[in-house]
Amino acid sequence: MENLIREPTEKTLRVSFDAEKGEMEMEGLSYSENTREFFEPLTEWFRQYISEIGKPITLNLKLQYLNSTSAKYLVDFIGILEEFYEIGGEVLVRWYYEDGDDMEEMGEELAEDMNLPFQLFVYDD
Amino acid sequence: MSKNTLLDHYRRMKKQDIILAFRGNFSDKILEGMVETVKRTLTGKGEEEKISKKVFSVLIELAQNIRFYSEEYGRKGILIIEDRETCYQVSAGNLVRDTEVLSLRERIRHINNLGENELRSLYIRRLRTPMEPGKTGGNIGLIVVARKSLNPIVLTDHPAHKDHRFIEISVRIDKEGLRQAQSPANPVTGKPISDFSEKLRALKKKIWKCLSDFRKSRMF
Repeated sequence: MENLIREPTEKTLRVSFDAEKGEMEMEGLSYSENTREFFEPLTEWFRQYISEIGKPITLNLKLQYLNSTSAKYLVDFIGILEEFYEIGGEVLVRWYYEDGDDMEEMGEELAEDMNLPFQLFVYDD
Repeated sequence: MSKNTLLDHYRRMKKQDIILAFRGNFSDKILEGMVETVKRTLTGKGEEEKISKKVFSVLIELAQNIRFYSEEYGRKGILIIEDRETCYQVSAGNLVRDTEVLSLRERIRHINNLGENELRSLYIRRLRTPMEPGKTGGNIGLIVVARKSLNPIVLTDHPAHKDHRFIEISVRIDKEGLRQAQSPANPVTGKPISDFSEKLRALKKKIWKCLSDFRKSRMF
């Protein structure tokens, strides 16, 4: 499977999905109006990875800002990992947030609400 | 002198302490510029990054709502951010069908009446509801606005041309200085603990206020 890479812009995320290592990273800001076009290929890639490869997945999220539409898509996206976990897949989500930032709250809410291994890490930039 | 010269606009905006104002279609590029302007302006005024982020979060949600819901040709609307003494006020306006106003008012009233925990629950529930085709999550936008601002969302509407009304949605984000009760205090003296960056921010605020007062006194 091909790796999936997206270069960051002011309003779209840096994405790096490594099919070989099972290491997925998403970083930056997301508030473009084309959220669906952005997230759909990512979702497709994940579904393909799960069905064709199915090896352990680590999703590293270092998100600075998500508008409400992006948050919705992200949650749907993590929902796919949740499904995979529920059928016995190995999944880990690592949520990195800056000290004192609102993203800490979002991470905590997702950690509580999503049914898969979810770790929170603070960093000081 | 005519009431609508550029100078009149300029004076009015200056007097109101308008940080930014835009009327038109809120494209990605425009939004990007507005976010940068907010960040730069608020940092320059010594605001904490957290407040700056709250302001641009609200800006983005309201602007994107305009783009999605405006009934004006080109999906146009207007958005203004004012610096008031104790808060930043973000106001967004656009045309809607008059049949939409009632349900919007209800939705806002409902959100305003929810406590922090209830808002949180509602937010999570909406996030988890599968996306309906054709919708872009505009429902969650107002919930986010309420959670970020921690103040009531104010809706006003005015008659516009037939079957339409002009709605204004506005909300205030309090400045950090007001949140004294939440800042850490020295357990011995009870005085607020301040570090260098806080002192620097406080100094920037003082300088800004002096400059601002000076400029106002020299209003032309």
